[in-house]
Amino acid sequence: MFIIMMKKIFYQLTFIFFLFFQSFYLFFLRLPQIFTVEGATLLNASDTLSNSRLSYRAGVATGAANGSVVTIDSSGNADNNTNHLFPNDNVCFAGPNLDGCYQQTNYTVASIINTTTFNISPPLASTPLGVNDYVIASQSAIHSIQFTLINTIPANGNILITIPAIDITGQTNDCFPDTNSTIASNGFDLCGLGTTNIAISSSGCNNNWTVAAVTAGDATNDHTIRIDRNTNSCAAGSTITVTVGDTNRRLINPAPITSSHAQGVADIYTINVRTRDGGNNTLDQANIRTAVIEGVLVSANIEETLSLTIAGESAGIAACGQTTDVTTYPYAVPWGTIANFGAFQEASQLITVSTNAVSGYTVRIDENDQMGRNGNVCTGANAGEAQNCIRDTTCNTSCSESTSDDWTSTTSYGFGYSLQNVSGSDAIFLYNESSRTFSARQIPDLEAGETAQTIMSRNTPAASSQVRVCYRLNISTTQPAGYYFNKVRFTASATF
Amino acid sequence: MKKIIKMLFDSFLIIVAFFLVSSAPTSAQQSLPLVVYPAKIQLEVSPGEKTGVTINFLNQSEIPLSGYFRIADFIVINNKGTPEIIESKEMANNRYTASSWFSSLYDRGTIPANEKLSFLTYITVPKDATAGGRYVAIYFEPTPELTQPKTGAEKATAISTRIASLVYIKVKGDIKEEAKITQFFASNFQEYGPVKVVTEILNLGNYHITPQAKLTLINPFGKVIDEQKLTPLNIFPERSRVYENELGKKWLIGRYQVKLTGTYGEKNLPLSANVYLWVFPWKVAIIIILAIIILILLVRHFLTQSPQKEKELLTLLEREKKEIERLKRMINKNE
Repeated sequence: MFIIMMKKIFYQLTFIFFLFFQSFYLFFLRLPQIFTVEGATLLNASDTLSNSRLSYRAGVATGAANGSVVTIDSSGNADNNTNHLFPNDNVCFAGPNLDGCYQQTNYTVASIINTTTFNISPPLASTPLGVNDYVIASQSAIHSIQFTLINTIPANGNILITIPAIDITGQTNDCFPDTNSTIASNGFDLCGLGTTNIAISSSGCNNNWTVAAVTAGDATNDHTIRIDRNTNSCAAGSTITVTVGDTNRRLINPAPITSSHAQGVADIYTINVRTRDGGNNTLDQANIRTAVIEGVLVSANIEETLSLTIAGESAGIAACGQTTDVTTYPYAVPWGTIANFGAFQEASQLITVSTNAVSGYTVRIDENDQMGRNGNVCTGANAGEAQNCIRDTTCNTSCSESTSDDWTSTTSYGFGYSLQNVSGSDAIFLYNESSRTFSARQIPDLEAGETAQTIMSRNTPAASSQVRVCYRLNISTTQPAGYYFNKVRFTASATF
Repeated sequence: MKKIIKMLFDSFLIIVAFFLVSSAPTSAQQSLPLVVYPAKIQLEVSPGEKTGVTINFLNQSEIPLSGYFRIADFIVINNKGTPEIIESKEMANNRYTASSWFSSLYDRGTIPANEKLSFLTYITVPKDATAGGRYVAIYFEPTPELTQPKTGAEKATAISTRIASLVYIKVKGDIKEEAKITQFFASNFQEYGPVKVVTEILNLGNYHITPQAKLTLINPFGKVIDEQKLTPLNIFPERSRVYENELGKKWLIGRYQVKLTGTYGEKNLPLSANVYLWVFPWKVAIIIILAIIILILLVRHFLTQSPQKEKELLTLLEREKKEIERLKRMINKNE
């Protein structure tokens, strides 16, 4: 009985000791270690890329010597079509060992012909591309990594950033975008980025940091960046921003993975950020998911357009320093019945031109003939009353279709016109040029073999240039009665 | 009673409506807005090829527009790039014409209000067409309307408009590319900058060119102080184009070089020219030199004249002292 009792007590004590040591180990040895290693999660951790576009990497199928057309392989590479290659992308044709660009030259994508063919500029040199070459359009980005501390980083602490690198030694830092079969084995190329290409700023503590080391990854390790704390601690709640890359050096975005990548769906890589104490024990950490995805080409084709508006104007308005007598229409200047001989009759129309043509525009004027009675042909440039014509004016002294003169004398008869800028300064001559009152010209008479003359022009695009065309008619008392008319024509076109 | 009120109300509305309609403005401000696109189009064809081109004419007015569609050759008549539509086939220089290659199903039509009409033309390039440029304008000309005269003594001017699209055709083959700078002028001497440069490039080829060139202003020490690109303008075959540029700022001094370097044509043939000029703000320089001379003279005057006067005064003072002493002695002697 006693022995049985002793055995029972022994077993109970053994069990109690077992429980005690288990609990001791768990609470006093194991748990602190777990907490120390994992730390807390950094708050608001993010990585903002200045360019989140995937790099482009395709295989060359053909690229003839001196040619500008390149065809890519349609399978077996990170990119197997030209969907993610855009006009004006810079491309490098790299050899199978990724040991430099063809002719040490970057080419520009001139246009995309189809899903496997594109044009480049300038053309290739006298050596054709090889079938094992690559077409590479690198995309690089500055990473802005930001986070808020949960725990204080002591004065001798540091920040360790781990950036995924491809699991192939020799390819992690060669400035060519990397690709592999899975995201886990792929990553960003370091492209020679060093400590001087990394900047750090902190809000909530003094900016006492030193970028101590940048270590390129290899087949088993990812890239790491270590930033040491100096002088004093950085308090919990401080927000740290690490800018990885600058105008000189940037991380090269990976190309799409070679299996299971769907265009338009991001490849998501994980960047680890951790803060550590002086013994490199983790204080806080966060895994930041960074997405890189194909770019979207947004394009629009804008046609060169030319717009011409001719508008009639009411009688009684001020035009070229005169007051108009006749209401005009886009199609006609109906002078009506004129019984007021030896007096100027004024009329005007407004011409508006808009164009986005880079070379600008011109508007030219001509008339089929001088004004003839009942459509009578007025042969020659000087047909007048004797030929039943209202001749084109000669102004006060002498004017033609290409030279102007003041026309103030009511004893000078005929038909002429002048111009006034309303919006812009596109008129070829002006009614008040050379201190004149009404500087006028003849309208070029096609019947007399004269050629159309430019009345407004511009050698740059025009938003809305407006010129008023002011017509003037002065009839002598001896002009034979009748219905006189002619046809004035405006021709608008882009400048060559 | 209600009926009477309703009648009165209806009558009032009719009267108001009548006055509103009768006082509405006439169609004097009526306008005719037309748009053409593309304003310019460039085609590349092979001898014997059949192709087509569509030009869109947009009537932005509230009324339908009837008129003619025409295909005509054009040339450039001056060094400003002004196109002139060739009205008659006799006037055409066959070398650059192609309107006879064009055909269309119709030559007149009506563009509905606020609608566009796409005018489709077919091009049949002759098998023996020589390589080079051909230039055609396709335009729409609304039919002008003149109202019938109310009396036999009326006068009227019908107005018509033409809006044209320019078609540049390149016939593939051995195209002659040749151009030269016929004028590269900057005044030998300028008082102030900027340096005004006039460049004229003549296209001696049989296809239009668009030179890509830049002007560089180099100071007396060989340093580039300004660069400007020539506006990329088209130059019609056998025509020239004038460019006017201003380089540098107002204050320049010394002998400057203006250099033009560029290329033209599909073979990127070179273009280059040089001109030297002096810039010297001589009026300002004269004023500064005169001011310096005056300053020197003044300083010299003060430096030379003051000690002399001081010496003279001291001599005078000494003389006066002696005179006083002499007078004192005379007085003492008299006493």
